[in-house]
Formats: sequence, structure tokens, C-alpha cells
Amino acid sequence: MRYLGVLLLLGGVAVLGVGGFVYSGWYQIGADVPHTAAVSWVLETLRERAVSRAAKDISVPPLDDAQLLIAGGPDYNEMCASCHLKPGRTESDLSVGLYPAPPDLTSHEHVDADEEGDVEAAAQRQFWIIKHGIKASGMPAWGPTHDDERIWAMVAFLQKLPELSEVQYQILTARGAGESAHSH
Amino acid sequence: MSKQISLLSAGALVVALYAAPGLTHDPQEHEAESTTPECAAIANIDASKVDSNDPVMQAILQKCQTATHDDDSDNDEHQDEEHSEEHSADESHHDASAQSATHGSH
Repeated sequence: MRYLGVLLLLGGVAVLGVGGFVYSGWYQIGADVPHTAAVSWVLETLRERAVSRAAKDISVPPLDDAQLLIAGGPDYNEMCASCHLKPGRTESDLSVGLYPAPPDLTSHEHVDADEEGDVEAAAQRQFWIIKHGIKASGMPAWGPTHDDERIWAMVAFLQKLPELSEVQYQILTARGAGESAHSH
Repeated sequence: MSKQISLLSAGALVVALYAAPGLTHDPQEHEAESTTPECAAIANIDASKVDSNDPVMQAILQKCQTATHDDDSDNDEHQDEEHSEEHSADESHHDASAQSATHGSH
């Protein structure tokens, strides 16, 4: 009984301490100051586990399709490339300034498979993240303004993105005069 | 003392002027890019070496065929317009000649 009292007391002190710190405004909230290692671990683990759980039952359609690439290319260029880069660019204002830094999707490392090497799981995660976004990361939810077919086209395009040359990227992402401009 | 401060300030200004371009970038990077597929860049590709099952190449070829077709249509329309203008000019000339002839016959 005595131990329970001590535990409750310590718990109360911890809650008051964390609450007091949050309310004090002393935390470095600027995007140009990184989180501490402990805060980074908590937030990254929260994000990765939440996305994995939410995306695991999504059914992935065939993505090796030229029409999907033609549809997804211009959308990627207009909606994603300013943060997630394109062939020939290693950084942009947004890739440098955002925190956490948006992943470079021209890199195989961030596109081909998830952390466990699962290719289908990577496509599921990409679809879910494009559709729903991620809180407090700068990643918007495109789902409210874009249907699933259009989002899968973007997933198909970004799966090919790491192997595209600058010339191939320009051709696939150019929205020709006859094609309708991006609309929400 | 004030002379030393002035020298330090001038030195700091020079360092800042040299450092600034490293922190900023060319405003042209924000300019909109071409919206026309630049298919001339792949015009010299050896078709026999292209993997016809590769969706990337299929997409590029389809996109460039569409772009070329659009260009041809634009050229045809332009030629039609020019032809039409020439035709109108001929008709005007013909009308003027006819009027002149009619006028001369009076």
C-alpha cells in the first residue's frame, strides 16, 4: 500500500512536470531547431506504427501501367515535386526548410520497399499517406480533393521515379496543351 | 577604439556579402517550366533497343505521339487559316477585278 502511494505521488509529480513544461513555452518549436533524440523517437515511432496499422489492409491494384504513369506524372510534378524533388534536383526551398524533412522520392531508398523490404507494403503506405496526409509534418491529405484512381496513378508514377532520367521526367510530367490543368 | 570597430564592421560586411549567395538561390528557379513534352530529346533513340514491355517507355512513346499529333493538327489548322486568308484575298481581288470590269463596261 505504501509503494502504491509512492508510485501515485511520482506519477502526479511527472504529470505536473510535463504539463508545466508544455505550458511554460520553453520548448524550441521552430522548424530550424531539431527535436531532441527522445522526442524524435517518440514522434517517428508514433508515425510509422500508425501508418503501418492503417495501411495494412489496402488492396494494391496493378501499377505497371503506362496510362497510370501518364496520368500520375503531371500530378506528381504539380503537387509533390516541390518538396519530394525530381531527377536532377537534390534540394529545394521546401525540402530544406520543412521539418521533419520530406523524403527524397527520387531515391530508391524511400520508394522501393518499406523498412522490412516489403514492396506491396510500400505501395500501401504511399497510397495511404497521399490520401490522408500526416499531422504536423507539412504533408497534406489529398484524399478530400482527389479520387482513389488519381492517387493510385501518383503511386504508380513515384514507384518509377527513382529510375527516370531528367528527360524522361520532363516528358512524362509535362501537361500538354490539350490536357486539362490540375484542378481540385 | 572606434577605428577598430569600424574596421571590424567593414570586415563583417564583406564576409556577409560573400556568404549571402551561398544562402540564397537564383529567382529563376521559381519560374514555371515548359508544359510541352520535349520529345526532340528522345528522337534519336534506337527503337530496336527499346523494351516494348517497359511501361515507362510505353508512356513516353504514347505521350510523344500525342504531342506530335497535336503539333501536326496545329500546323494543319494554321495552314488552313493561311489558305483561307489567301483564298479570301483572291476572292477580294477577283471581286475588285470583276467590279472594275463591270464598271468599265458601263
